[in-house]
Amino acid sequence: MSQQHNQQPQKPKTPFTRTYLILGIFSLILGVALGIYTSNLPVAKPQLSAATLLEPPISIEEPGLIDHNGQPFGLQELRGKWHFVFFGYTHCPDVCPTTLFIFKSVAKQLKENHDLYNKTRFILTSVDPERDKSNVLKQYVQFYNPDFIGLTGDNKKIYNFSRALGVIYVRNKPLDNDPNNYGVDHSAAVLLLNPEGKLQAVFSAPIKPDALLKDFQSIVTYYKDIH
Amino acid sequence: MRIYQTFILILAMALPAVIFAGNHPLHISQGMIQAGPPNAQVLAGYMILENSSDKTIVITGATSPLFKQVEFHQTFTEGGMMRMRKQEQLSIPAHKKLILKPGSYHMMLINPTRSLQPGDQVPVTIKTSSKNSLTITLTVKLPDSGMQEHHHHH
Repeated sequence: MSQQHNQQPQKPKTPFTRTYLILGIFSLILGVALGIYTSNLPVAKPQLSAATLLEPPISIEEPGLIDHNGQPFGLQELRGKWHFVFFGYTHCPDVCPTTLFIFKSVAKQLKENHDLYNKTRFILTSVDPERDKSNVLKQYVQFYNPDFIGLTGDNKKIYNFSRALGVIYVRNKPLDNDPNNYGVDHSAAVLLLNPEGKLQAVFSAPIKPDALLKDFQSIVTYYKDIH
Repeated sequence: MRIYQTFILILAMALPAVIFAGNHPLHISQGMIQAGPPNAQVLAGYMILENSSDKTIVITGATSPLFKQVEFHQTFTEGGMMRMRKQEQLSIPAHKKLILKPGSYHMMLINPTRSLQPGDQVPVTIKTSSKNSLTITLTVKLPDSGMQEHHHHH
């Protein structure tokens, strides 16, 4: 009895194994083909309302700047996190405070609702390094948010950094015979650098906090998809 | 009886303000000074200036005991930059308004005599070409959180 039972399933063993083998090979081919096909499919472009996405992102040269604590700040510091960069100066009454209050509002929303806050930093780069030394910038940016970064440094290096990001600025002649009473006109765009330290997107003025936040999240998702 | 007394009291309190405002053809509303960092050397003042008279009002300057200098400036976009132009005077035509707001005309308050906090009251005297100056009090305020964008549209 027991022998018959043992022998019976052994008889059709070969055709079954062949079927499984064929099925297996077919599945494997299908899987590989599907994999190749989908990996070559373009990732859907993010729908952006305020930002201009740069593809490919633009590499920048070593900025070689100084942060608000007097520490060197360059490509190494830019890597690993997203950075919003704005160019301005502490003697700027209108556009710069308005933009920094927008940064403050965006940072607050990021902190409340998203873990993205820990991967994002906000920078004010001074276009007036003569008056904006590290200690001045520190007190200035930290009024808006203790995590904000202020950058200053050598005039030429700030100029090169601004040009690399498509920003222009012009220092005006002093008013009322007071050498300290001068303004610096500058682009009011907000630049977004990706975690490789490359220019990934540009937000043109006027900056709208809700649109900036929404587009930023779309860009981060898109960036993850293509990497 | 008590309601009547309260009404008289409110009226009595409101009367000086009415007379004061009624005396001057220039009306100022929604005035504020935007709060800034403790070491800010310049702050911006925003407000609505309204001319209720039949003649153009020309503002020739402003002063404040809490600032070394007060100027009027206009922010405008030119050549891809936000530029600022000092306004030696501001003209408000008869029965028209001039809105001082972010990214546009604004009062620029330079070199504060002390660090100003939100809630601080700042007296500002606005001078006009008719030598009829007007003193107002502007409160230092933080902007409405996240509401910046709405200012740009109006």
